[in-house]
Amino acid sequence: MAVREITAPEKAAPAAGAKGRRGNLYRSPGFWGMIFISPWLLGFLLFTAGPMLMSLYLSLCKYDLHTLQFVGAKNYEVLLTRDPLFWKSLRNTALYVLFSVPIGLTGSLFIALLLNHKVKGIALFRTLFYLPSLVPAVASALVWQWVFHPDSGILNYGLSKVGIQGPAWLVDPDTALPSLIIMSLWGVGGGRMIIFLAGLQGISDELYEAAALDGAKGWTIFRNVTLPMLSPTIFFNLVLGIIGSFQVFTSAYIMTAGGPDNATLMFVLYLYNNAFRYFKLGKASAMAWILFAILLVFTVVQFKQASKWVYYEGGEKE
Amino acid sequence: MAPLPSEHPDRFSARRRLTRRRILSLGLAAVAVGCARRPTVDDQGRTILRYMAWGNPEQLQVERDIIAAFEAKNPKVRVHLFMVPGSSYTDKLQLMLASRTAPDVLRADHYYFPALARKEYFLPLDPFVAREGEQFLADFTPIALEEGRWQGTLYGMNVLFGAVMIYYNKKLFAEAGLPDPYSLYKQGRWTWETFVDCATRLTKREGDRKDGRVLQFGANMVGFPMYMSVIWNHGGRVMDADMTKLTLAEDPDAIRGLEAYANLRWKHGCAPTPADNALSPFTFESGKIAMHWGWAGESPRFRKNIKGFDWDLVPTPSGPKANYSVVKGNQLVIYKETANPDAAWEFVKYMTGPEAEMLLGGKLRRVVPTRFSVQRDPRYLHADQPPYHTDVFLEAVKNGKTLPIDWRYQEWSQVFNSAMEGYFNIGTGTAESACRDAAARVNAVLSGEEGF
Repeated sequence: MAVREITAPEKAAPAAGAKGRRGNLYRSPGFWGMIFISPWLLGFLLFTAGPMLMSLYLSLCKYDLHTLQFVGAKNYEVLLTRDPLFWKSLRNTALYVLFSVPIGLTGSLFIALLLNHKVKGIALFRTLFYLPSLVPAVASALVWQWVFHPDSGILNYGLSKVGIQGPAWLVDPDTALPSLIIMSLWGVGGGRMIIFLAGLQGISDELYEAAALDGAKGWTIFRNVTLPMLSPTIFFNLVLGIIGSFQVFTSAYIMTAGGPDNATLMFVLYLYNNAFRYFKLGKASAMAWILFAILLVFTVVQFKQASKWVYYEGGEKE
Repeated sequence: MAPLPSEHPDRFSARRRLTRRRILSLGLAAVAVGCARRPTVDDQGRTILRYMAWGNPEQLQVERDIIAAFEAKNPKVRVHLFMVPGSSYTDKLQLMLASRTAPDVLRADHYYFPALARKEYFLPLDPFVAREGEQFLADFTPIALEEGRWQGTLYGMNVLFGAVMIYYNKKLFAEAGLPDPYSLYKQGRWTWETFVDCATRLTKREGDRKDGRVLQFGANMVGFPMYMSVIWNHGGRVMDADMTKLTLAEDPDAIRGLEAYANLRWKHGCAPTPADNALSPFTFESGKIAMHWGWAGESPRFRKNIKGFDWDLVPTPSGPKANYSVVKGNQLVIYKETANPDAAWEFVKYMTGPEAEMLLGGKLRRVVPTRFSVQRDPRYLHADQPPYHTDVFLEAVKNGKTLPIDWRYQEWSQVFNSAMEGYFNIGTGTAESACRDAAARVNAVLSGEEGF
């Protein structure tokens, strides 16, 4: 390997004194760039990276806001081997993800397909479908409490009209989790639908025309043109959907507080309880890192699998 | 191409002022300003005390009146009351204590008091009490003082002391042709059986059919630990004496008490289920609950909201083996690191003194006085607005028993409630099986290592 010889002026540079260095620093566009992004950089270091590293350290400690004691991996050991509620909350969350993500993705795609038609008043329909997602989560949770009311809720009223006696929904451990999954449908018309709509509008009309000339119709066009061309968007929504569903909190916190009998105790709700109700901040931090690991594994697996079904126009994504 | 900054020395002459040292100095100055302690003296040389509390507007107004009276008597002290919504009070309190930014004086709900006192956040009050003379504590109800002690040391003075009592709708009793519960109580006939009988008769269903939609319930049901008097009055107890073990499952009397309470809902059908109550249509204010188990502190709300009927108070019913009432208060404490401990003590003393208790107990009628001198005062005893049965407040103190609340209460009570949910809220299983399940779960928590 060639070693560049340091020339005399370079060697002499330090001797030019601190003033010269400062002068160079101010002339450097990089310095001003750093100055201008420093608010964000400081915010990131102080409020994101710093707390993340701190929570990693706390996950190895017993900490109740008052005393801090290093305990090694004990929080992880307790969670994985001795805490039945940890596994219960993980099971509840996994079931929630398993059902809410595919149902939500399908629902959002279906609405996006409907709203992709060029019909009169489409802008109004798009606004109407997007509106529910603008309602604050707490307000919509309260509305859904009315929907799920066993006696006077609209859901059971509708079921009674077709001769079915509706369950007690949020009050019954068997139906509480399905209720939250149903409630997650509230968000199908939100940001995910908009992304699908943008994806659909990015598909070239030429592909549809070519397919039509080949005699393809409806479902065949959807399966062979729309879906492959939309696969990067589906992939994007799937990755974010799984991450978001694993972090479900508000609906369980507001509507059931994790009950009845922990039937809706979600992972992040249990984490919150440990942190801010029982002040076991070490244990809660360990839960946060376990969740991070789970999400990392899911995301890596999805990216590995993506090459098999995600089609990128203009070539396979490396 | 736009010229580089270095090509315009005049325009960028600011660089001479903006040195790295100056940037660092500015940053450190900002941090120093942010971390500076609040002033403890105002510009007129008066000591500033910060006091944190929560409550409804009526109660906080009375507290403001008490503060104004205190400041008039102590012109060299200013009290800054800052209110925090009840829903986030405990979180804020704990974070302020942990970050050493807590106010000089604060109110702590007894549900959290032992856990906070154990962390030594509060100033021991015994030295201040000693200065007041031997007779100072003699005016306080012992049970109220006891709540403010942690391992024998007094850390908090009881404030907003209250009991679980029964608010009853006089109109519904009269319509059902039932005797007034207060008169039954005065005759010594206010027993559990009488209460259940009244609650059953006061429950009305559509078309008077057994399966008809309920129009009105005889009583509400409250959560743990508000129903503890039912267990105690059946002769049972929940925890062992040092609160290290849930003994409920080993105590047949406790199981009977728990079963009697759950029967209101699942056997007698005279109390709403969680499904009935999901949208809170059955409330005392709406006239759809004839008897409401609640804290003394609820009376200002009822007085404000209830227009269509008369109401008053009666103690919770006696049981086959005892006649206890549940009592609980909040603790007024002084933060350990206050800069003005003496002024803080003067304020705590005034807030729990006879004048303040007269306002909270007499004017607002929301507390059970902790001081004997107030309990005997004709101004307190004579009520000119509901609830009129002042003696019920006093009986509740006389028969009062404090709740089994220790420093791990938040943790084990959550586990206990989860275990009891099936039996109480869904009607599955038996009292015995629910108690066994609760004991197994709670004792696993209590025997486990703290902090995990």
